[in-house]
Amino acid sequence: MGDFVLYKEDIDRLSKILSHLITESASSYVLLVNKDGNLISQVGFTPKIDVTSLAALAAGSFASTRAIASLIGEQEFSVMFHQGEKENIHISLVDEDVIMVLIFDDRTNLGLVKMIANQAKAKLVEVLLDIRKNEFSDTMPDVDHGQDVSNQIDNIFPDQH
Amino acid sequence: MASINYATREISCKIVYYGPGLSGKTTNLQIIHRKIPDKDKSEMVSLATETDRTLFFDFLPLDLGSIKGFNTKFQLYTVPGQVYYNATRKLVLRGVDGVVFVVDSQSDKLQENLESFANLEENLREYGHSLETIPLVLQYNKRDLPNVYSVDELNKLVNKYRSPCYEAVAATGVGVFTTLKAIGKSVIDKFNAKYSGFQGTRRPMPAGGQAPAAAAPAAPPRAPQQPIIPARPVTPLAPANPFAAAPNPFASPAPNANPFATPSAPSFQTPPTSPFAAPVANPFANPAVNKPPLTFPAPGFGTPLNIPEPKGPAQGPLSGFSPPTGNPFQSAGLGNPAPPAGSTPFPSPFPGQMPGASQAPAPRPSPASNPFLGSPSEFRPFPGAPTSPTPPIPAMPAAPGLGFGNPAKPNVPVSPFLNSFANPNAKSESTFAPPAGLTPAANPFAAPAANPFAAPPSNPFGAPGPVASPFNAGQGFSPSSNPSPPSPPAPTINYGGFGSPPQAPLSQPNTEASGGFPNFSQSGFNPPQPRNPNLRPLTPPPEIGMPPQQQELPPATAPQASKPSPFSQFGAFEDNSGIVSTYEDMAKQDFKTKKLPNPTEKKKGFFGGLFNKDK
Repeated sequence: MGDFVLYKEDIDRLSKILSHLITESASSYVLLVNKDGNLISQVGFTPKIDVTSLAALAAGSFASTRAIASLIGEQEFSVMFHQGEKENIHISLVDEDVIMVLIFDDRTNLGLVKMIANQAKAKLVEVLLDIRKNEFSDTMPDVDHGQDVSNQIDNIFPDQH
Repeated sequence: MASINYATREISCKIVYYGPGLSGKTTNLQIIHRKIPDKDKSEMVSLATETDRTLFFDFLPLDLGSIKGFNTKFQLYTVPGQVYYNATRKLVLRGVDGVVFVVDSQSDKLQENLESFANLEENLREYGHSLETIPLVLQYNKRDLPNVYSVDELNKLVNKYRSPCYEAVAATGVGVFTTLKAIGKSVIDKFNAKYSGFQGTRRPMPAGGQAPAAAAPAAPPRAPQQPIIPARPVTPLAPANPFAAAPNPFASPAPNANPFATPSAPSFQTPPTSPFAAPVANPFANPAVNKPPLTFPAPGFGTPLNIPEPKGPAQGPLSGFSPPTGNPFQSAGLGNPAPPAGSTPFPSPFPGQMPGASQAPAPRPSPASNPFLGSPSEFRPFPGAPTSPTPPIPAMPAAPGLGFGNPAKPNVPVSPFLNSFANPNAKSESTFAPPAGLTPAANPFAAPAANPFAAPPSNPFGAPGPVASPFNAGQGFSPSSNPSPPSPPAPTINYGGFGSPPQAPLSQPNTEASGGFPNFSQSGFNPPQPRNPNLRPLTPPPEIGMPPQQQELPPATAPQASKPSPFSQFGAFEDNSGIVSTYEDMAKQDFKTKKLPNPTEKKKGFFGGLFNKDK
């Protein structure tokens, strides 16, 4: 499992599929998250949502259900659904390393979301296969980048030693 | 593993704080979270029990900002330290880029420390990693307590890999940031080492403490995070701004100004800094303790790698998306003035001199390369708008906080998308036939004031922050040669020929009701109304009205409707994803149209209305 390298082209391809997905399913937000908790792509309408945390928690949640699955002899659960009073979350496995998080409310229904998500999944898998062939085609501009990180932390936390 | 997003120029690394229970992992994150300046503050997520013991993990995203053109983000996690939470502990380790092992220095905790360290090794092994390849920093915590092991003892007992180690009193913040800096540097240095071997210069990484002469030149000029053994105050760094050294793309198109340009040789040939280097500061750099140098797995080491053509941003600064380094207002660091968001279009003062323009040919904007141009014909989110040049939903490449969901900024003068229509070269072919009576000026969907899709309120590909203006993107494809057409006054909306507005299966989002939350209205259709009198509704210039004879109608795949529907003349639409939908098709699927009967329709039949409680 290597690093996840995304180019704009990949993001465009993913976004197009995801845009289609949320309009077709009338969902409000969709995230593609890899199982490490890194956000890959996102499309949607929900303002003020902490997508970074959402991605990390969704990945954690999915990982824990995977552990539950293994306890009962399943390899993993490919779909998770959390129902709320207004908002619902549908988490599904796209491929072995990527999950899709769909947020929707009562303006649509689970069946539709499931169906559309399934349709999108096949297309996403194709794109993700291509993304995995990506390589980091750039080097860091400076070998002292690590030092920059250290300095930057100093800048952010000026008074801490 | 790290995630590298070229679209947003982001690198995201995962750092896990590991250690026995109650050693202070969560406290480390809490201190960091507390000290983050308010402007950069992000929420810390803590999945803890009622007694504040970590149950699953704590999570703190830390955005370091742009470093050499890459927005570097650390995702800090902690694990639950208690022994019986190993299942969840293992889950958190997935995809880790660096580990901070927090040691409880108390003498009666030694066994727990050792067990936890062994557990860390074992869990990493299950993911196919080992502490020889994952950067590790040790933090000897609770140094203020009386019954603690000395640092030397802990080094002998716990520090199996001779990793950099730091004393800390996490509860008071002592040593927390030193540790953070050390692990951050190690992770990025390893990242550098991994990706700097294009010309076969990748070198085996020395083991911790062993600093061969080859790695010595890479020693940082000032080592602010030397291991504090014995503890000593770290000299406060001068407020050096790393951005000050960043090359200004206008001042001189230095090779490094555009990382997508031909990779400059020096950056490849310089030996990478070893994550374990810290040679001058490492107390273990004792020649007596000679361990064989550890090597990082080096895929492609020794063989010249094909440097793949950078796909997206290499299209040049004029190709619709400007990488941050190509955009003077995004790349030049904090020192450069940035136009306020939503200001008037700011044509690039140097349209032909953008960095990278010499290396990468700057093509005319083409529909395929322009995110605002190419998409409409390929994807139409709203089938109810057949003639409207509705761009797709602006996709946000993984960049949280871009105000995509925000309502359109009131003073956005013209949509960059509409702007593109003034350019005859950039004409997008549409598969739609406009309905006979629906002229472009009368198209209700052309008024982007209430249409969050027509006028992306912020640059979806730009960096978050003060430059989130659509004109940053606009610069990309039509800097100066393509001035924005003046917007006609607000159109009178009629629905040309239709007695009633067509019921779109998914009606236009109504942003009024929910304060920016585009609301797929249940009432079928809401003609977009300018919700702010200051908003100028935009209509496309007359020349974009596409003559019907140019349109191709793909065959409709929907089953034949028994009676003609107003949607039938809209034809079908197809996006590149292969799904062909007709409006009839979608209207039939649409639950909303089924749910909501026409309120004016009268019940028929003898008992009609008798049992209707509404009456």
